[in-house]
Amino acid sequence: MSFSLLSVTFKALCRRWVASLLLVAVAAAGTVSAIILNGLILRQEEALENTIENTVISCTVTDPMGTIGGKLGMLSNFVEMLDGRRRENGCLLDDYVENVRALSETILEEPKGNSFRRILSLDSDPLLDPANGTKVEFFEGETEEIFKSREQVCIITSDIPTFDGYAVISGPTGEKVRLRVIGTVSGNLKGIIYCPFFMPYSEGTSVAFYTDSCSFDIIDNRKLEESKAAIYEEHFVEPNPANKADGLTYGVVVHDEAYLKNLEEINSTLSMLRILLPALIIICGCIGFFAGFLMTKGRIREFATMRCIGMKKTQIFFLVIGELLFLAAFGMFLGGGIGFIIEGNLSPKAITDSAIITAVYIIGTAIAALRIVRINIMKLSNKEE
Amino acid sequence: MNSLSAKDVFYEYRNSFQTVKAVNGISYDFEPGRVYAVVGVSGSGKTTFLSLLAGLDIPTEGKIEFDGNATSDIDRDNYRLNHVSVIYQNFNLFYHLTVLENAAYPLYVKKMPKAAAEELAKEKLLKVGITESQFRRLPNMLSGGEQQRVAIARALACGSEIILADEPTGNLDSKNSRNIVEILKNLAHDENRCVIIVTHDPSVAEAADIVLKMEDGAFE
Repeated sequence: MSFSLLSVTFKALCRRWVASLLLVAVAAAGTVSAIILNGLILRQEEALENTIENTVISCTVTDPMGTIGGKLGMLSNFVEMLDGRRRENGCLLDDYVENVRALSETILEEPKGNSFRRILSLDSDPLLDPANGTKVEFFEGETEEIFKSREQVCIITSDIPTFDGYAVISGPTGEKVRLRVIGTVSGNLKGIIYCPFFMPYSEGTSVAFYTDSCSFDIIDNRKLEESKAAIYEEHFVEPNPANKADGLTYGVVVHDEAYLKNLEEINSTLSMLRILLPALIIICGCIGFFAGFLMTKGRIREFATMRCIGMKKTQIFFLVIGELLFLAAFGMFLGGGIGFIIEGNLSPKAITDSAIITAVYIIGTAIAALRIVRINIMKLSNKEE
Repeated sequence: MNSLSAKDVFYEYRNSFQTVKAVNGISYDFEPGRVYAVVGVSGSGKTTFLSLLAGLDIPTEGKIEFDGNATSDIDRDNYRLNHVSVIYQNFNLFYHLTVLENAAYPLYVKKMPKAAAEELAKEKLLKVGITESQFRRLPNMLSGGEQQRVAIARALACGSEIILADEPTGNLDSKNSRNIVEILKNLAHDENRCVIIVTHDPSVAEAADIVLKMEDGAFE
């Protein structure tokens, strides 16, 4: 096909600007819609991922009936299970839970009347929340991590007396112990000594004691159901008012309602968008298909004249396909540009979907163009336009 | 100059309901340098015969011969591009191309360089009375007579030896009709082309060198 023929064909295309613009608009609209819809899907998928990754699902240990508040009175052995310190006994809960928070309080004989609190971390005791005006300061080289250990250390409020950097305490059992002071608690709190949750009074001993409150977080939200099944497998149960307290089993309330509701909402939006996208491809493709088909069909007399002049069927076919490819490609680039401005990026999926829409559109044109093969040029002399 | 002849030509239109014999045993030799007028009532098969001469289809029986070769045996696209041009009552111009582009279109198809094609087309347009100021106009900005001249210029630009015209003055007033017929006569007599005109118009038939009357698909 000669350059001059392509050149006049292009000029004719520009002069038929209404029809050309319509076909460009169809391709552009399909592309923009595919890009926007893909963008929406991408954002919903990101939101889903963020929700799964970043939502903290906390669990509160209660009595078997599910009573929250008051003193739990649960033996510290259960906290050991949760914290993975009793793996040797086959407890694998630490594969599913993390950030175990536990608090146990005893009123001391010495310094008399003061509170002695065992904690696994600073957030085990709500009183240490900075929002309450409390500030914890560790001495140089000391960190919160030490509360996970069994060392005989403590942080104290300013009113607790110290002796050469040690606090001396005596519990209800009468046994005295010297605790190295590693930090202070300032604010409104008075008369409190915090030490590691699992700290023994004497080296090599292990004494069970009662835990007043305990909570923890699920490690991996993707394994929420598996984690719940593991938690409820042996020592903990799903709280139920019909349960009885036996001191051997405790309830765990999993606070996953908001998380599950969020997931359901995002998944429902995603499902809708995922149905809309193929529907859009089919609708845009069909509009393009019929637009291309009708535009080409309306030019039968023109094609018959071309045949009469001596152009071959294949020449006309490729000329028509070339015209439509040009318009479709132009529309796709235009739509891509608009989509990029709206969305800020172009995902490979959006480009693929746009290409599918354009391909359907070109197939419509090709089918219409195939009619050229069947043009009866004997009818060209029909007097009616 | 190549010759054109019909040898015992029959042509039938068929559909599921009926078969119509449009051309019924025509034999005739057309000579260059002459204007032929084919006249006859509507439905007598004039246009069908003209279309067969143009190579738009092949006869059901018999043959149309160009330069001794049956149109059924040659590349008819090439035949239409290089040897025969058809002028229609409704002009059949490309309405999104300018007058000049319309006249040069067959030359673009022949892959002639654009400048050369347009130079030749300009020459033919001027020859049929289209002025330079009209070259860049679209066909629908011209009168019917001017559009028919553009169609003739397109035929001339092809360099075809045979010009076939189907009611070329059917949409024109008498003054424009006379001009068009004059142009066609000059093509035959001055450039030795074979001009065959299908017409109802007695004045056109009078201007022809030979009048062929057609009835029921055959020459009387």
